[in-house]
Amino acid sequence: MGTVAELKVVATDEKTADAALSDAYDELARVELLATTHNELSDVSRLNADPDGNVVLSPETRNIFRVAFRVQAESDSAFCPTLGAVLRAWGFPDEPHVPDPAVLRAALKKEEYDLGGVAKGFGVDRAADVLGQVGGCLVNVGGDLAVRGTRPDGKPWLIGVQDPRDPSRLFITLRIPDGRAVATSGDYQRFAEIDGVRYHHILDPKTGQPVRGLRSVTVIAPNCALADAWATAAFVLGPEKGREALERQSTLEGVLVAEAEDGSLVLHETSGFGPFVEERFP
Amino acid sequence: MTRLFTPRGLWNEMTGADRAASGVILAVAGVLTLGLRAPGEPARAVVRVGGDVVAELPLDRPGTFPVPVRSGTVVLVVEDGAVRVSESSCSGKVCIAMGAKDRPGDLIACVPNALAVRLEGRPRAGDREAPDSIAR
Repeated sequence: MGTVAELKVVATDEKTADAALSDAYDELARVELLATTHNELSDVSRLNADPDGNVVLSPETRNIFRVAFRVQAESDSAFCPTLGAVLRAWGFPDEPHVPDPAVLRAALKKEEYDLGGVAKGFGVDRAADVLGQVGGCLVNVGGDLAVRGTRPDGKPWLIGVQDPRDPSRLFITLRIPDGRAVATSGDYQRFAEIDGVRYHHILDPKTGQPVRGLRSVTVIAPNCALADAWATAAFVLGPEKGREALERQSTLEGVLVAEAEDGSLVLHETSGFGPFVEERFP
Repeated sequence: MTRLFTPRGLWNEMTGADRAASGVILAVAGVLTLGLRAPGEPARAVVRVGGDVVAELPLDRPGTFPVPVRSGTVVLVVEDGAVRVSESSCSGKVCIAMGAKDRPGDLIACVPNALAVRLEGRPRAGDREAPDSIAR
């Protein structure tokens, strides 16, 4: 299963909107081709195939790497862009399975780039930049989104955040102002249940094991690439250290969601998250 | 038993078949205000396959609606003022896992089948404002 791209733009006429949407879609596809590991001609695939060679990266790929390395450094390596071999050892995304310990140890020693934790957000940002030239817009790719301007009624965009326990429910709605982005990492996004145990795709870079402790992390940031990477980093760090790490970033706000034994949600919010909240649901 | 759910991931998360099926549905096109209806009218599910509208299902009329798609059939069920996918010929079944939707703005998508079900309509008096999009 892939994902859905949802693009909205406020324009004076439908023709203008259609043209802008088409351009934004092309931008999404173009950025995908830079960073995907499913195409051997992508920048990232070429780098993985020849890590010691003279691979020339596009300026945009270098920008994606800059964001990845910055978040890696500022999160004490909780965000790690070199887990490609580890993810493959687990069989993500197509055939997840519990890897042999020796295979996992070997994979942890490899530095194979996988920019999935930041490149999607980068594509969202570029598409929003394209649509934003026409008017207020919203770009949502697989649940990670960026907005420009406002809705037709002049209000900030209203964003629902999925309840990690139930994909058909929201646990909160947010008002997201011009130029902000929202990204979520959750244990429900890609996972396998094997012998009754849930194995999800957010892995501890130190152990290669799925991180336990949180159900989801949602981050509000000035751009979606940053939000995407920090949502993963905070998830890996856990409820307390993750919240503290987000607090240290002056441009970020977020909510870290754990599930109590009675099934209720326990929210760990940064100090500036509250003003974004429109409504909370039990 | 192994169950795999992959509701997101443009970059590294698609199967080969999904990528061959063009990967992404352009789910919403046009001016935001298009599609809003008069106050008091019930919400409806607008069903698109490959971008073309193939059906509009008022949510106040229960029923079961098979929709032909590239891999076979997706079955939509309207009941209790909501729409959901009850059966799908796709491999991942994520569309079924997305559950029932009842608010204008909600979206159900089956990417392998290029199917999108968008709920349209004006919220009724007393309804919560529908979000413009969902972070997940």
